Amino acid sequence: MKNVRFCFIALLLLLDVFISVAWAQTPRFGGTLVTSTFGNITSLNPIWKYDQPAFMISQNIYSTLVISDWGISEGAKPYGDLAKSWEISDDGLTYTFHLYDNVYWHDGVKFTSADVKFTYDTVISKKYPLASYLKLVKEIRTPDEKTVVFKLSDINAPFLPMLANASNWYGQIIAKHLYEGTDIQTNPYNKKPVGTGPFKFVEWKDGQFVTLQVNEKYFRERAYLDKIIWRVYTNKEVPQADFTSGNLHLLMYELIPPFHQLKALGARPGVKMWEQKSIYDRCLVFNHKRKPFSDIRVREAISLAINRDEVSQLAWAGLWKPNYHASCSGSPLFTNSKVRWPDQDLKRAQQLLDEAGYPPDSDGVRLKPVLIATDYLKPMVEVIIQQLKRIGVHTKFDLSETATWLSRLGSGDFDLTPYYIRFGPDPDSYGEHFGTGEARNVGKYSNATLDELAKAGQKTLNFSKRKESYDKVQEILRKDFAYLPVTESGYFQFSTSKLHGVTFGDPTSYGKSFGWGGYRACWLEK
Amino acid sequence: MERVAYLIRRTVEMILVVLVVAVLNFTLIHLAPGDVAVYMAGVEAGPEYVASIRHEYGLDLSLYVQMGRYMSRLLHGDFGRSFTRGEAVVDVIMNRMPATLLLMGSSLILGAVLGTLGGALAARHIGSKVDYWISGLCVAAYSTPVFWLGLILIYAFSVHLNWFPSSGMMSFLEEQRGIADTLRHMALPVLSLTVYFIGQNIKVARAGVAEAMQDDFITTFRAVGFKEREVFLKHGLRNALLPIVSMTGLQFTQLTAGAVLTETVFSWPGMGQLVFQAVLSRDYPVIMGGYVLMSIMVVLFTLLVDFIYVVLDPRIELK
Repeated sequence: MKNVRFCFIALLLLLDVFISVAWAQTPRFGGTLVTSTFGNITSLNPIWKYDQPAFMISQNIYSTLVISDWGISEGAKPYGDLAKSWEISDDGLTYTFHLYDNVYWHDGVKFTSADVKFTYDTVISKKYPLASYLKLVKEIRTPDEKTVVFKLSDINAPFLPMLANASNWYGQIIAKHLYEGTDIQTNPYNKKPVGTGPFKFVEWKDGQFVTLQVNEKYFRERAYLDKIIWRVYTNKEVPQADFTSGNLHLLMYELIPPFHQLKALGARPGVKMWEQKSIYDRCLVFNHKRKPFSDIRVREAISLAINRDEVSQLAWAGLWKPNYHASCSGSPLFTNSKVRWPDQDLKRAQQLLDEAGYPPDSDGVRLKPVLIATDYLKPMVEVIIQQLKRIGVHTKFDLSETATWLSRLGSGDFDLTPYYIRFGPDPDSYGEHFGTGEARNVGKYSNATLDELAKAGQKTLNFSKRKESYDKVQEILRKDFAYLPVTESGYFQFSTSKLHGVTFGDPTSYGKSFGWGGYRACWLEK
Repeated sequence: MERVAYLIRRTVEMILVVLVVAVLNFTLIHLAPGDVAVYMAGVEAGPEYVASIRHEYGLDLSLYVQMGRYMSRLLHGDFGRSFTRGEAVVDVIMNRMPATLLLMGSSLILGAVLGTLGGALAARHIGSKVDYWISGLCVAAYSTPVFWLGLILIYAFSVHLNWFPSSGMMSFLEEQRGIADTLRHMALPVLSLTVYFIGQNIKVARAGVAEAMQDDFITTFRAVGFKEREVFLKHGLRNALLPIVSMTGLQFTQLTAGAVLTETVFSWPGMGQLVFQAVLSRDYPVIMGGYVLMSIMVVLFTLLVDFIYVVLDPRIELK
């Protein structure tokens, strides 16, 4: 009898645990999320300029035509936001988007295709950042209130994925009835935005915080959270302290402590560490226009001097893995795994430098290249500097803030720089980063065959043909030692363990967050 | 009549100082490395957008032309438009000004009052344990870096004790806002900014009071039978106020620099934080506007200090 009673109690306890776990995993409506942002927000109109802190907020206020989120790191494709569906004509020149019907701006005015046309026409005519991705758009038509037609002047395979990707930053649709005939940059609605997204604007206290509340008339199911508050921080120490003391639910990736402290922070009770694969790598770029890196033997020697495991461990605490490929694990679809950069070989590296005419001087120094970097990439650079010394390459390290670094990249005033190559969401990024004369080709690398292959990949919608082109592109990059992949990259965020559906980390948010900073899929346990 | 002439002369001097500051700022900021157009466009933007930004903000013109235009606008009271915000610089700065004035004003007053009281107390008990303790603490106070103290205060009073908020100037919830809420938010930034000035003022006040208490007129007061307390408060302390006033004038300029650090550590929405962020994003009009307005504040405050001198010491005349 005693055994029966014991079994019964044990069963009840098990049932209780099961119910608790199941209950905890069921999304809950309600709650206020207090999250963080780094740096001042300067405008909540997302289309006219680059503003990293503002994008994270505006993604929740506005909607886009199509969007991609971090699901792309698992091979997911762009999905519709305001677009319910779309079709591409057989010749690849016409994209027809069918819009949701029941969409309203937060001020109650009905959203129509005219808003989409107005936004994109404005972007193109004003040459706003998204215009780079709309280069081949010849015309935008709106046959009715629910349809938008893009006519392209030529086939452009990356059009849709890149539009969806860039929409995370600049491509959110703004209201024609509030912006038409006004100066977009000074319009008062830049400070009290009206969108069609899952959250409505409530308040922006400049330099302090921004508050949004849930949009009950959102055209999809309402978001779980009632309210989101972004606290603005201008240093990293205070938000970390606020997070550990429970005054912040979410410590966003730009505010996290140095890599060697991440695991300890993630191990704290009640804290969840979120890891998100990225479509960017961390690499070293050579200036191909200047000696000595115009010489392939010197580039190969540098490649052979690098110990990626050491970089991964010392700079990134092993959290970002070594990368030997002209791609990264967050963008696997077009990776040519047969293409691999060689392992460290110091003897061969020194031989190559001898052959290239750079023997060691009496102090053992062969070369003194100028290496420029920002604070953000400094940990990796510090390890690489030490590794290069082993082959007699003593770098002159110029550390500067982002504005200066970007300027020097643009003017080619460097020999070596750490960089981040984007490998997705479309392989056309190979053309962007390595095509002759392309803006993001900061090393000024040039190879006519690669240019042709990148162009061919852009001009066909056939997956196999594209794969073939980009496989060859990767072979060329390796053969030329065009640049030097070093490690993977990714994002880390920390939240209370009661927070779920976090964009940047939680796969349950893929396909539901509507942007990299979208909080529509987020929910808080009680 | 002499006072009017003095005022006119000082006003002309002030205008000249501000103009020189404006020219120097313009030159230094534009000589600093870093292309604002590239930064504003972001890494994903194409060269067309970068070029359009340069053209739109006149950055493709020669430096002389840009400076001429800027100075001409400045003389008409136009500080230009923020590159990053699209708003008039005057509006952006004026939105931030009250927060900075509140922080700086509170710190100056608190620093002067507590510094004078501390100095007077040390001077009253000169050579005693009280004097040693106060002098020792004041050395520690003005040797402590503002940003370090700010972080320590946050860890102690915000993170561990949870007495005061760590950042910002008001609560998220409207119903919690008010004077008490603002005072709670002010506590840590004002304290971190004031500690340095308390230390400095204690030293000055202690020396001033101690010196005054040795003067012949104090001995005379004592000899004719005035109470020691009255002699100390009415005559000794009053004479020590002059160096405190001149020190406060100097401290105002130091405060403008200290406010940048404090506002950055505490995310205090003032001019210091604004200008610091503007420097990082190369928002030239905001940087220049911020510096020009700060220089106007400094020269006006110096003038005010001169007037206070006359009130406190009738022997001094404005000429």
